[in-house]
Amino acid sequence: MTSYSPWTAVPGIYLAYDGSINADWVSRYAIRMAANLENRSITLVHIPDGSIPPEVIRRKLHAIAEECSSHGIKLHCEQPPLRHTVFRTLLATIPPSPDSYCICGARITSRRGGFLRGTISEQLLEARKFNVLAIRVVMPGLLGCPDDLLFPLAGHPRGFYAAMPFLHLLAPGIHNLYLLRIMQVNSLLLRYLSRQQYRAIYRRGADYLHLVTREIARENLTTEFHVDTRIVLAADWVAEILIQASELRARLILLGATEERFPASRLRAAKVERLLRKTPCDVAIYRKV
Amino acid sequence: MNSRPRQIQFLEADEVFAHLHGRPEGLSSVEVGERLRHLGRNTFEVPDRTRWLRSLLRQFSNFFTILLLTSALICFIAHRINPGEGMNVLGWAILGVALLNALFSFFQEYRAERAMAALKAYLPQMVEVRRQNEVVQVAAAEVVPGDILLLSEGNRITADARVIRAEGLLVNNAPLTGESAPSRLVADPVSTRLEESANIVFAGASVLRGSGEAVVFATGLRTEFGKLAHLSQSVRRTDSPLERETSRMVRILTVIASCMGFSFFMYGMLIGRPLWVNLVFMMGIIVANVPEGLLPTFTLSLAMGSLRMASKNVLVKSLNAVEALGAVHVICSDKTGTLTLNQLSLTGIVDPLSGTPLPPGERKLLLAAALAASEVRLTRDSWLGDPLDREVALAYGGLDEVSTFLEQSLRFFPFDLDKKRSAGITLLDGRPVFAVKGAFEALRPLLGGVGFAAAGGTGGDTYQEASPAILAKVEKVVAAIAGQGHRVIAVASRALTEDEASRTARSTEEGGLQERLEQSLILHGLLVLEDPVRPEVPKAVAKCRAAGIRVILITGDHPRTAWAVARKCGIVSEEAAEGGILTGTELAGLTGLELQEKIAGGTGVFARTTPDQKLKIVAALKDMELVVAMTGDGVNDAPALKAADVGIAMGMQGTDVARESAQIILLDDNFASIVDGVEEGRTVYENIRKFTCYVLASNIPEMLPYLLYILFPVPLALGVIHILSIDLGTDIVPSMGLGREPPERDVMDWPPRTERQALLSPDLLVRSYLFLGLMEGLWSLFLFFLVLIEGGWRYGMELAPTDPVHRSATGIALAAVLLMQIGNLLGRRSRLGSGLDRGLLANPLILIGICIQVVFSWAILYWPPIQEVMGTGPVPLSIYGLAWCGVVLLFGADYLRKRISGKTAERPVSTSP
Repeated sequence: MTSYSPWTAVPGIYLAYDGSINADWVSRYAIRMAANLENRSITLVHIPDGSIPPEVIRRKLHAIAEECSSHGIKLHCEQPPLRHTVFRTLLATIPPSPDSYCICGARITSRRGGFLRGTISEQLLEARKFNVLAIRVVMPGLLGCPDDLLFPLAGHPRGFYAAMPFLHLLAPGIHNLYLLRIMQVNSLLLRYLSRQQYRAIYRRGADYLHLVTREIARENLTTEFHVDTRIVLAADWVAEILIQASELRARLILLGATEERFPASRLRAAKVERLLRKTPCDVAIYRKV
Repeated sequence: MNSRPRQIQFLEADEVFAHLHGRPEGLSSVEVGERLRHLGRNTFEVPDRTRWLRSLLRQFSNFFTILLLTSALICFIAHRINPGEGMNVLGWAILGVALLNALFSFFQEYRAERAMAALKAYLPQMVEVRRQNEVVQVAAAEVVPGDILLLSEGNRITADARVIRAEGLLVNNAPLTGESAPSRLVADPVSTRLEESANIVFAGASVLRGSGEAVVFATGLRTEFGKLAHLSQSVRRTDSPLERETSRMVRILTVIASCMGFSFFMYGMLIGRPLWVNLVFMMGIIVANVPEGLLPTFTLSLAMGSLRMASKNVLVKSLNAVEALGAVHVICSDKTGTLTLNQLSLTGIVDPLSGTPLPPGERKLLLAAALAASEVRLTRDSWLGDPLDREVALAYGGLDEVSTFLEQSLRFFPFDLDKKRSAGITLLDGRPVFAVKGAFEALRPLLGGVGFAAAGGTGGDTYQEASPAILAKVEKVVAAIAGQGHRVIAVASRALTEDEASRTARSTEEGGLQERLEQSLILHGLLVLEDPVRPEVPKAVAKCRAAGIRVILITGDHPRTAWAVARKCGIVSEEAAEGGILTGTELAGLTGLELQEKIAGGTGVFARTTPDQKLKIVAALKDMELVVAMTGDGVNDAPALKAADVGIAMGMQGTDVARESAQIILLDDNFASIVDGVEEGRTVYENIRKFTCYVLASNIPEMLPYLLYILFPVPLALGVIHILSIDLGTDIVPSMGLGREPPERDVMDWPPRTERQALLSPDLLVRSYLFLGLMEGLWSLFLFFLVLIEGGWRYGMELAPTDPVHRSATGIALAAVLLMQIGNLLGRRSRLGSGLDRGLLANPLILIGICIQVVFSWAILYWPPIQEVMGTGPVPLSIYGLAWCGVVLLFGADYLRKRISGKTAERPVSTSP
């Protein structure tokens, strides 16, 4: 079992709220995360763009405020006027800092096949001004408490560094943490891998996960949860994440946003879209600055 | 800091709406539309238009198919360069074989869809929901989170939902949990994990009794059933051991063929031969190296193996599973019905403190209490119901006596999976009595005494108070009985007061009433039941042990029962410590690596497991590089059956979903049949090795003439047509004959094969190419040059292929290869013996194969129509007689080799076939 300490820094949680039902469900994640912080506060940022009637927004904000209050969380609502675009307004409102955490939602419905592509959340992820967590909620019954987390890891040399703050935010609610390392192998090659080649690739994945597990274990302890690791050799990493999520009954998939630049980033974006579309559980895409 | 997280099961029923953004009167059509757009339809099928096309194309990326296609292309090119030799016909034949193979594999994959169709049967088409204060029937696919489902008896559930009203709601969760006993649902908050919560109703379940309402919180792929369906569809079975070895073999042969072909093409170009001549020779060398007939023969051999398995109650759905079963290192078996007879019988009624049989009077009272807590229905001459209840009724008395007793029954509370007990109220001697039967651990907190004083008033007035010491004593007795592999059911009762009796008669509620009555019960005794181990199982397990196959027992039963059955079957030894057992709870807490360590450390029994934990066990075993066979019968066994190397479904008890997901169906549900299947699988593999060795041997006499032709100024002994007439003609029936050979006597004495014993192992290559093949090649070339020289040819002299001398020489070279293949065929039949010792008439296909070789060798020399087609001519009978000497030469030398290598071989499997 691995445990976690309370967060030493005092991050600020900013909920980018557009008034949609997904935003309502995403707000639960923000509330749960804020409940894990010492300052127990959320700044809700809503930019009125006229798409939702103000009285509806007022009613929804009131409901969120009530829920925050029931958790002992202070809610600050900010409704800055629209400056050119919602994205620019958000950038101007949320302080650019490694201690700022912007929680936002994926698009309510897939437009031209994209849940994240072309959204403000995607722009926020790419802006790299503050930490961003873009969530697509498909299991509202979890109420923002995903107890079984699946972390697919791409083998970044920095290990778990970029994911750690987000794990901190979610850690108190976790029962099981599954670290998944998918070793990508070309589909044709995969069929003809020799045992030795298979073992060598598998071992590389196992070594990486061993490092990550040690990195997680080095953190201080308060919340206990079960950590398990999986190494899979696959050609299609999206399909494999979906299979593992179903198999492990994960409640939330936490996936890092790509570090790659164009055109590789576009290719990856299409795969992330597939993941968001077919996901059996909630999905969160994160980026740490 | 934050309190422990609260999910939907933690909420009060009236809080649920607010959290799901719903209302008690139901959603509006606008809200439904918005949620449908956001979360999609409530269906677990993800539209994928190109899926079948991709699947079809994948079949053509198989190395062997590529090789066959290349061979066909070579034939067409050869026909183009040199028409009139019938190469185009052969090209079409090879192309046909490649297409058939690809389509066959595609069809196998397509069949997996049937598991999906079987899963769909568990979900309803239409459901009743409340929307905008009206009860409406909507298509199940249109249900969204926040919808209120109306539940009533007989309903199937379409989505995961939080129960907000429950009136005696009893559901069957078997498709998800594999547990046939019903679960009682409540509307109150609970603090368990979501999937274990009693206020959650899951998609795929059905309502057995009662009514209620539930608010949907997950639909489609996000339901637990959706995840199961997704896994059943997405988990791709890994290549079978034979597929892996075949592709390895093809890779090696392709590399050899391509390298040789290209080298000689380049050599030809360097020495100034014309381009088209070099091309023809390159293709000739490639064709000579490619065993074109091998893959179809593999398929035929597996098909024949599957037919033999069917006669042993093992129905094979996927041909690769025939051989895969023979390669298994581990068999993970269920208990009930597979290792045991699934015939629960009452073997004792004992005192809970001493464990000794109860005297007849007390025994009758105990059975009366047990019968009051049972539900049986009379058919013409037997009882229908749960096996345990039937046993109780049979033990109580005859049909009339039990019928009379049941007429006194006032109320029945069905078995509740969570409570692990059933209960009932009946009149005993005119007094109302509340009786309970179930697991002792479930009854223990409800007990006030142990004895008979309050049961019916006739058992004496002494009963002991249920003090911790007395209960500990009972527990010891229960553990001792369970330790012998028996199932223990505790029976308790208490007399009801007049007030309780009248209130009970008026009450319509179920759960709450039962709980109120369940207090101060007097434990009367224990029912001892046994599901006997199948008599043939211990022998079958011992056979597995001798064959180096590990058997692992996975059951939902109590650990002691599981351990006892494992001991009776021989899965664990009599003296083994119980450390070799893991419970489902322990298993859930282990990482994959820890589980691997446990299994490697000797854990062979998994008790109190849920069917979905089978998947974790399969993954761990496969990570240990073991070939795994897994049995299963439930809907939720489907992913594990697909993930295992060999998925085995139960034909009698199994669900359609399990049967469709498995590769093998056990028609009699008997473990011993699996072991018979393993024996058959091993035989099939050994036979495949035999005919692979047989077929590869002819590659050398096919290739040597090309080498000589390119290196020296000599005529070409065999052309492409001659090579293909062997590979796709005369070698096919003998290969099929070898594929039908009966098992060697010691086939189940070998450990499962290792990588070193691959299909194309170095020793097999050396034996085929450098011993058998070389002998055939040298002898046929000796005869070829003998005929040439006797016909007047001298070294360096050009000779046209149409020259009668060349035709005769080619004829005898081909005839010699064909005849020597007879010696090769006989030798391949036995690993260490001569081959003749297996009886020539025992395998008709071998006999037919020999006849074909003899007749064809004669026809190419002496029958003009064949001579015309093959470009051959006659030779003197004395020369033909010399070709026959090759049979004796090869057969004798091979036998001598076996005698020598048989004495030095350490492991039987590594010796030659």
